[in-house]
Amino acid sequence: MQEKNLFKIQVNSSDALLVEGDPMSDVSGLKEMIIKFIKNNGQDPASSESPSKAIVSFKTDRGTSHKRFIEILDIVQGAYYDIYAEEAGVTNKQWRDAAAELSNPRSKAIYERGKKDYPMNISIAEPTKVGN
Amino acid sequence: MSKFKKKAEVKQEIPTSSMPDVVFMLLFFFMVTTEMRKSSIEVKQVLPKAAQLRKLERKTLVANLYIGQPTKAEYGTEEKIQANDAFLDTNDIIRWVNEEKSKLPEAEREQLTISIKGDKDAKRGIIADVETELRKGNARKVLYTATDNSNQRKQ
Repeated sequence: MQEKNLFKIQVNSSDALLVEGDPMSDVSGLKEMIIKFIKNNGQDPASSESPSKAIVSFKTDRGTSHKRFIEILDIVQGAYYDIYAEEAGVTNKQWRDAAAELSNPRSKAIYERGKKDYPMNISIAEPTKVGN
Repeated sequence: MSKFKKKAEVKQEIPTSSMPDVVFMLLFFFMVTTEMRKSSIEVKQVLPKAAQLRKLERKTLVANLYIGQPTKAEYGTEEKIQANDAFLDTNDIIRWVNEEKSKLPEAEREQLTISIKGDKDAKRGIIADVETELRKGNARKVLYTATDNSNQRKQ
């Protein structure tokens, strides 16, 4: 696996965030960064080659709080949902609602149209054991 | 000459005319005071907030695991895992998964979804341990419950 296909997010035991090796205190721009990374398609040679190869790696520490974990995971999933909604031509919320009722064929079509080219590659790594 | 007078004829039976009243009173009393057994959650449960939530499709396939600090001081301050009515040790999780699976019809057993309801202050360490055990117990569908305003949904 090539380094450029990996978007690394790390959170330490005091809930501090490291994105692609750089500390980040304001998470408001993170979602855009992830979307750009996933949809890069080889444009920027240092970023991902294709959406199916792009992996968002999320690593925490054993001391990271669940709240922070969910906050970041929410952003990462949000990035994917934004892409899915765009692909399916609906809003983010409409796509998520469609995903909740797959027994309905219309919803299922929206759901699948969104996901078709963008597998959700989120890797949640085993936490490190620095803090407690 | 009889020294002892014959005892007066005393009615011996207990009056039973009020028995139905008593029985009904007891019956109503228990009907009113009885509570259905429900699992009370004994760990802290302030769920983390999130925006990108998804609703659950089939609630019958979901089993809950509550993780957080115990609410009662007698259980200490270390984070605990609660399922149904009891605290679980991480070693018990595989057995618990199998129990939950056996409650479902055979065709749907592999669809069992574990909802991790972690308190916002719970640490990743214990939750990761739980996830590892769930993987060993072959429970592949795991989700985190979070709150969106006031609704609980799938994350």
